Amino acid sequence: MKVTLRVWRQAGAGGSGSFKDYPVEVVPEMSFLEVLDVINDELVAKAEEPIAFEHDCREGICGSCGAMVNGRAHGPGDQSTLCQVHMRQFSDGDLIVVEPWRAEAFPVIKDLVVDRASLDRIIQAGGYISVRTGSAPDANALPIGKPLADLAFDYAACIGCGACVAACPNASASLFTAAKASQLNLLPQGQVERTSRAIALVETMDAEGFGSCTNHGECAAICPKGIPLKAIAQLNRDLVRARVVGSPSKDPS
Amino acid sequence: MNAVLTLYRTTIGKKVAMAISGAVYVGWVLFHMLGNLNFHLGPQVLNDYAHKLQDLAPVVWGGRALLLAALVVHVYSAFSLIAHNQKARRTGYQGPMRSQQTNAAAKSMRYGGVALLLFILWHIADLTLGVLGPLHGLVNFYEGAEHGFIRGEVYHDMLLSFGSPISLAIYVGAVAALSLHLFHGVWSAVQTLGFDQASTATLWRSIAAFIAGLVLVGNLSFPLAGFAYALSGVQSQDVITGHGVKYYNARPIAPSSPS
Repeated sequence: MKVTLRVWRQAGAGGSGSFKDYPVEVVPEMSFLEVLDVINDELVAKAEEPIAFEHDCREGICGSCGAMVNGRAHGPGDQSTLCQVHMRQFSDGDLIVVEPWRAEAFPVIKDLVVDRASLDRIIQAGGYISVRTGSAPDANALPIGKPLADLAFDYAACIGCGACVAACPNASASLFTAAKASQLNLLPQGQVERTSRAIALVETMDAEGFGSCTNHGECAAICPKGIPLKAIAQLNRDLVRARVVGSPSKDPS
Repeated sequence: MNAVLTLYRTTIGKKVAMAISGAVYVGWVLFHMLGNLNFHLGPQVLNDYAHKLQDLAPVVWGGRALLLAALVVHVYSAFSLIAHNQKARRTGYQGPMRSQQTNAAAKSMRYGGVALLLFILWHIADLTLGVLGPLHGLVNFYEGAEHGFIRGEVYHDMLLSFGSPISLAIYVGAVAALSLHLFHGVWSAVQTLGFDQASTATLWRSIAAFIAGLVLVGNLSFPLAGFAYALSGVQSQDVITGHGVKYYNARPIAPSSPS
């Protein structure tokens, strides 16, 4: 089958860019990134600049890849990253528009590659727990109920791909921030820094220039890990409790 | 107080402020609607209700102060958040952008909000201050329209306003906008205040839809009924009420009309 990829080409950060069409012969079994590889092979053979795109594991768990494909983050398919999209999801003769994530907090570095260090800085602000190091604690020393453990694990599934920001009409990182806060805030190990974490993560999210949540639900609809919208409700609740009720423990904030 | 101000500094804090001030208005809208449903019980009941309410001046003015404060908080927070959000994506998508989940109610919140703000001003001018009489006189199917706005004659004033097709259209449009605003707003407020849980997500969605539906049907009932009464022609007579003011009392002719 033959498709045409209309890819955003931008030489570097801060510059302007434009779409360029790349007709390419594909087979239905090819993954989306393999199609980009094929186009790049042809470009290199013609001594042209290959399309820059991020990728690593190519099995949907690392969070490196991602682009807006025909107006949907990570392309067609539910709970899927871009590397898990295959040509069988398209038809012969399709025009496929490929564009980088758009947000002030995600400046384009080149072509489809955006700088997502803003997400890392949110984690740095409080997406961790402080523990006494040493030998591993006994596995059964700290009982955690199954429903809570499952919920925390669901939030921990976030791979930080940034699709939630890309799909959000406000370019908000609320779902990411909420997942990163709640994966710890729900567990006993996360209680010590629960209030300072909620405050630090939200204030960093705001300072990085992400928008606010207006509950459109676009993020949860395209999240490759299926993180639910109620994660944001949990974050809101933790922040209000942190600011208004305060912390029962003496955490530094 | 300091904690509240620090919270308000964050985007989530502003959303919480919008949720709480919005909740004040949801309560007000329901109360206002219940009061106005007295329209269906005829002029005597409605006017008596309105006069009793006016006799509670401290409550009325306290309520107005609360509503004004909530309005200022709601509108200021909305504009502040919109400005923040617009800065979050200065360069938009150059290619197509297809939404997956959102609905018209969510997308129209800011426009509906502005429309409702303008409607509030219109509504106060119309039925509180009563300064739109000349406008209502232009085209009006209500026989008593020539008397214009009469303070305290609530039933007459409502017929005067609903008898004008222009005014009726504004009320119908505003009620539709209000219902749409509440459909997203009520659920959104619940989410913002953190009440939304896995077990209750569909419940809150349903409650929001129910409130939006209730407000739509309830608030459309008296403008439409009023217009129908005006079309069918209503008799009027002068009466003196116990309030020492000369009121103009209008009542539908047909014995069947007030249900």
